[in-house]
Amino acid sequence: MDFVFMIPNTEEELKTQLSEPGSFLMTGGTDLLVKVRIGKIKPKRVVSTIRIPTLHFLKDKIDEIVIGATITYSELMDFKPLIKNFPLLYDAIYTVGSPQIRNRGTLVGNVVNASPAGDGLLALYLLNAKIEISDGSVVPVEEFVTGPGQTALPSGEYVRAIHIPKYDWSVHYFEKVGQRNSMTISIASVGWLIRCKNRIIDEFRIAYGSVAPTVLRLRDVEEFAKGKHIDEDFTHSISKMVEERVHPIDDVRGSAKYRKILCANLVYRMIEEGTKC
Amino acid sequence: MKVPDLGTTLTTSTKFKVVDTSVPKVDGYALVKGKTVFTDDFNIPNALVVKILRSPHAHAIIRFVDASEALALEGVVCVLTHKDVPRVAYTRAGQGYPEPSPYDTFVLDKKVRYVGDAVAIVAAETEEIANRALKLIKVEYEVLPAVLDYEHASDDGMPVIHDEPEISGAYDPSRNIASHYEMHIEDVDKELAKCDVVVEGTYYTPNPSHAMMEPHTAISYFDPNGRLTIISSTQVPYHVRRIIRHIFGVESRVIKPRIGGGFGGKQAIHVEAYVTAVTLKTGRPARCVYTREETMTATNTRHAMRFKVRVGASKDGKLRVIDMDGLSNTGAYGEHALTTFMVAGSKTLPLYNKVKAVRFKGDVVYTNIEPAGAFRGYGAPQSMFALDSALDELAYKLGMDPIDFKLKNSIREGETSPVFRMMGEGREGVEQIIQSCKIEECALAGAKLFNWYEKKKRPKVKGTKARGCGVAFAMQGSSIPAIDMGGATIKMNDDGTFNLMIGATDLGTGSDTILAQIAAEALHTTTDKFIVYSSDTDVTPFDKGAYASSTTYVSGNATKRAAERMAQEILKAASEIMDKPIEELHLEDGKVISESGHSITYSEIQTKLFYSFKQRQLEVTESFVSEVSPPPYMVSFAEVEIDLETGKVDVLNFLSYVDCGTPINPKLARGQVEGATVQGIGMVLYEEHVFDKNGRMVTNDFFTYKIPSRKDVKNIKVEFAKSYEPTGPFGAKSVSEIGLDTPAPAIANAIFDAVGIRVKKLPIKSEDIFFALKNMAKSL
Repeated sequence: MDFVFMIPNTEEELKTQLSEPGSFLMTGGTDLLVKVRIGKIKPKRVVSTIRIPTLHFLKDKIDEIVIGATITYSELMDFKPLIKNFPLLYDAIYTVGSPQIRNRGTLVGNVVNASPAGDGLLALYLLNAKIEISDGSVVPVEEFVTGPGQTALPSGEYVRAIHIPKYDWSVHYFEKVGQRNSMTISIASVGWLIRCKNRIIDEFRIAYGSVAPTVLRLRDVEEFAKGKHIDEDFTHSISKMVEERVHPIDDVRGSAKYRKILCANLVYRMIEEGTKC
Repeated sequence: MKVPDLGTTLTTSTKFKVVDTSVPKVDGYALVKGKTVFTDDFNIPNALVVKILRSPHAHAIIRFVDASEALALEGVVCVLTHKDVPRVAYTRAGQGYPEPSPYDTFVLDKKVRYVGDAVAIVAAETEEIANRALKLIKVEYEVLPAVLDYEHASDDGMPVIHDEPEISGAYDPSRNIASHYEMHIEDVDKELAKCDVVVEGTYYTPNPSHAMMEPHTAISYFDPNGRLTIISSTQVPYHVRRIIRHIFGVESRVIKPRIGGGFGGKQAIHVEAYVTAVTLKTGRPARCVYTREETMTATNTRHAMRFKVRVGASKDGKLRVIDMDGLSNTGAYGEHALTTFMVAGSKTLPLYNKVKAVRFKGDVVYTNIEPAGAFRGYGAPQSMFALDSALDELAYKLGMDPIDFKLKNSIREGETSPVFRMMGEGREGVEQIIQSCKIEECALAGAKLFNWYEKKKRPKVKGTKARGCGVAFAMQGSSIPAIDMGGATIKMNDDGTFNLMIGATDLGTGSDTILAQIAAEALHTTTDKFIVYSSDTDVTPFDKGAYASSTTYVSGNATKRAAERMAQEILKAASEIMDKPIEELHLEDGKVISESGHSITYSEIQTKLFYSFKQRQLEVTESFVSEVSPPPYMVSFAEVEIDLETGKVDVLNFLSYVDCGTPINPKLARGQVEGATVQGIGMVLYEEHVFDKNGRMVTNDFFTYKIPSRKDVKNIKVEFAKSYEPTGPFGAKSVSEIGLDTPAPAIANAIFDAVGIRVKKLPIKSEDIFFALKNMAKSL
């Protein structure tokens, strides 16, 4: 597994080095190196973003926070505005790997990796995050991820940052169901955001991980939920809709059948959660 | 029942100075500081890197191997196939000799019997070249149909896995049966007819991996005088030496440095034969470090077992029958095949010695998957899952608390079981009367500490979670009686220190430390005065190795004997030097003190003996082999929480109350039980090997094969009953394996208590619980 390893110091150098075909981008390497080691990918060149100061930043603006490409999960978790404005994202990141993985891994890496099981990615889907690409374009995360491990990132470009708009939510929920409690890839994961008053829903977002080729936002369920009262009937209808819309597969972690019902069942967590508004 | 009075039956003073204290591990600092202590840390110049070409087929005949391209690669020194190594049948099992395991293995064979079986040995100047060479070897296979389902391994018309004429010691290889065993006491069917309540069930346990941190590793070289030397990460250096001589006809020295865990996985010879073959062929040092994938796919696993159990009792709660019909999967080769199966009976059945009729029988079958071998508990965790679960169900049907039921029928001090005599390791066992058994205290004090009775009364379901509690009883043994022998040598130095040389194999367990404690106690000095060295077949005395819960008991007794004889030697020398009769002298704090108040230090004695007075080196060697195998006992309590919406099981609390006699080092003893509990939780909830339809193991790394993490282990508590085993060193019994016997039944029983589902197949996956809950809801 020989490959050339490049560590550019500026974004200009990065761009030049990336222009060579067959180059792989690496930041923390928590995913890429595992794939290289098991022979799943055989890169000729690996270009690391880790020493580029202009990619290492965190900005707390009035209407959004901006997360630079080389910000690790651990750095994010220490970033006070994150837990204040995006507790959902904090909860999701908290379940990623182990402390060691979180010290190396990055949220941008999670986005570019585009795994349907990406915990951080699921939160970004729910938060309508936007991805800032080195060519100057900014695209919604849902458009950026095009399939399992596939993105709309043009060849020779890289992700500079993630923009997450601030918004007030009454309820946030994230849960990852794995066989084990840490260092685990989920059998299924779910997250939702609810803006509500007296248990009447004003706005609702829901997404699932590990049950479709990409993270799955269920827009029609979200639309349906508007104006509804959070009670058992409501969760029952949502649960049925979810079961019809997720398309998990069988793998070593669990059967498709289990995952489908699991997704439907996880909705019932909302009854307790819903009382918070 | 009241908690029995503690400490009344102790036969010897428990006022120890060194024993029963938690001194730090003698090798602790070196390990945590990352010193060069493991096999792979040894820098042997000019060593070749050895890699093994492995079979992609579960069952095939090797028609033809063409290594010419590999040999043409610069840096490749040799490629060995079955034609280049002696055709000598042996067993990989490192156990008493002659081994009860079949001789069904060759270093390399013309047939491969599982995906991962060795086809060729490659030695090259670098790892990179060796790996490239592996890809250049062309092998033509005649692929045979494979036996992948062990429940059908001996069906008519199944392919024969071991058709080699050299095989010996296997029960019926033509039907893929490696071993067979059966015993009975009275007539189980007649007795079952008399029972008021009978429970039947079939239980399955899987084949987890040991998942030790250090992979299998060995280095071989000729020393300057041409003596073959093997440094190996092994639990059994003396068996390695003997087996290497058997295969290659060459004498060797085997050195065991620090070991990064074994759990039975290194109680077999795996890597040693490959490096030896290369060193003998090339004359050069050879090094082989298994990859994690090889450790997972091409060494040993636990034996997967199936037990059909029938238990029966009368209305008054008297257990009358235990009938266990077993089937064990030994995979491609039969190392430890018979003995693990027998231990499944011999280390469980005597616990319930009040029973009228007992039957234990079954086959151990060959299949075309990775061979099973020794693994902590050695069959007992498999059968105890079946037996304890069945007894729990029986108690439930009788309307009795399982603690009352199991206590009522279990063994006590002064009692025996005919099973001790009937079942040994591959042969008959030995009779023994139990001299220490605090199972009643373990159960009752444990129940109190756990709040068992209060917890049982609580409502099970709260919201979307259900909680339940389970209890499991266990026993194990301390060594293999009349077979296991260990020796210890103690040499006194002129600075008042002692060299303690033992063949006993510390594999991370802390045996070097506890043996030093035993010697220090007997010699009235402190642990830091002992320079412990283990194990080196050219230097240390023989020891069978680290297995069968034997080191504390057997090697400990050998060490105690040696220390006691050394004490006599010291007294004799002091008597001569001080010119006082021995009767007027005693040992205290590293000195000999006379009744008149005169004293001489150990250092002064040996200095005089070196240079000026009746000159000699004080040195003694003693050995120990036991006539009995006193069982440790344990009662474990588990509290689980089940998420009714996902089926996920969390083990919230796990308490083990252990009777291991005197814990020589309570902290290390606790570590043994805690570690076994975690390994048990893994076996119960997470660890499962998945094979594809061609028999290839899919779960060959820690990404797909999940062992418990710190977050999966909530609250583990270990308590020790006050106990003293008269035959043990300072009252000690074993503690290393027993901890793995209870997690499976305790957790399964707790799940039943929580949701009424009787789990009979491990691992218990969220998914299985989930669908069982759904089915239950449907049938209501």
